[in-house]
Amino acid sequence: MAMRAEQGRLFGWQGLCLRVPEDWDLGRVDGDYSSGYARLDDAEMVRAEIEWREVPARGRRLPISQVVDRYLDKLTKKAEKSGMDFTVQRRARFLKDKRWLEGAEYEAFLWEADYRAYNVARVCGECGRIVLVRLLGRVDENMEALANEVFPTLTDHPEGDEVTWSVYGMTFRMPMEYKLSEQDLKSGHIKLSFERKGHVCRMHRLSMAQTLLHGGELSDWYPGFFRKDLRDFDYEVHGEEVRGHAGIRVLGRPRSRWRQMLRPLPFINPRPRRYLDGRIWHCDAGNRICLVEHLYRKRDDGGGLTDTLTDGFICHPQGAASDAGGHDGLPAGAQRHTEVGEERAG
Amino acid sequence: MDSRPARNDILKWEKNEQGEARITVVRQDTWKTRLLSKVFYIPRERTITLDEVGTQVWQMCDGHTNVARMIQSLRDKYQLDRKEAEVSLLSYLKTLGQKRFIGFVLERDKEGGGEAKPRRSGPDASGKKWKT
Repeated sequence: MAMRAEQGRLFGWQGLCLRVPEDWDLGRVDGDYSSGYARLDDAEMVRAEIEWREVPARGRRLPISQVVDRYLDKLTKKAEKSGMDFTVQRRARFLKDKRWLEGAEYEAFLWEADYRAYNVARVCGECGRIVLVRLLGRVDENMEALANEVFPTLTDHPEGDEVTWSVYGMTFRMPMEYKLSEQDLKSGHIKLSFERKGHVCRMHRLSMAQTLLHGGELSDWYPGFFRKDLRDFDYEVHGEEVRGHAGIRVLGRPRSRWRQMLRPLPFINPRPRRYLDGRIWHCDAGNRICLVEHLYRKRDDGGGLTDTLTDGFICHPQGAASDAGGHDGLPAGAQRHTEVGEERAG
Repeated sequence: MDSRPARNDILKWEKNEQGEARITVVRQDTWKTRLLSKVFYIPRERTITLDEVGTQVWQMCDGHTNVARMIQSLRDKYQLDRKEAEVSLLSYLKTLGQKRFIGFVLERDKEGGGEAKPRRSGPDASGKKWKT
């Protein structure tokens, strides 16, 4: 369970970042930038929960101690109902290094029922979000050392104009103005889509690349696997090295209007005419296929965003391979910031 | 995670030239199937061919390998995340179990009552909505 600061896995979602032990994975996620909830589990139990909420724009914001009061009142009532012993230690002193909390209003507290939870609630003066992070351990488990490694890695807003997203080991940076519009977290295929005024960015990662490719080429596999996504495009695929890996570049333009008119129900369900710029590469070290796609309305709107997104994409963890310079570890920007299931087998 | 999937002994299976497992399922001999087979064509047996990963899992369903070890084995071979391997494998095993292709061998508790296992999520450990 112990984790050194430089180790562990980054979890990044909606501008929040936290470095956690390698075996903690996302178990549930809800909400958007203004409010939400994320849960990280290990093989045994829930290990961390993160809740965030924007401070109301109108009216007076409650002091953090009152926010914690409300939260603990609810827990106490639940514990009473279930007849469980519930103890709370407010303003707990388990944090050794508090430099990361400087300038923020915060409270650290502990509660214990059938689990022991180390909690930190804080309000960020810059982004105005209230974040509550709790780490959970068994009652007989000493999590204090781990809590002191995990909590200081928390950041609640990006520094700069790019947001770091990191889930199940897939890490990339996305310009701030792009908002998450769709998430599809299937085992074996992670897909996150982002939107901004007529622009769509899609980030995919597929596992078991060698099994998917069956020794074939990416340029043969891609049009078949993404046939449905490509049906609105006239596209060309070129072989190209991407981030030191064998890859392809796909350029698509909308199909002719006449052809679209011939489709069933062309007026009832019109699809937006878009251009496509994509990079797809096979990461040998991680046995994965990664895709970055940018869809845009006007021919000249691409603006090299696909290249920027590709540069910020981490396809395999640090130390997995010595090749592919520049993507072991976090990208420069990221370093500044301190349910599911497809059957693959059978 | 401690349970050990075991193949149904009644099923016949073999490996084909590509190394894929072929399971032969024989039609049940009940009055319903006999009656239906008078009206519709129901083959006496059908074969199901598993892919590479399915075959690997099928071979591990030997009644000795527990689910945790199967997950680790898949992770090592295909460089999967724990969650990826866990979700895919459990879903696949569930399907095999529902079709009665496999059963699960469970350790009998030595002291009768069995020891309490930590739950996946405690009553106070998740899903709390929290107002500002």
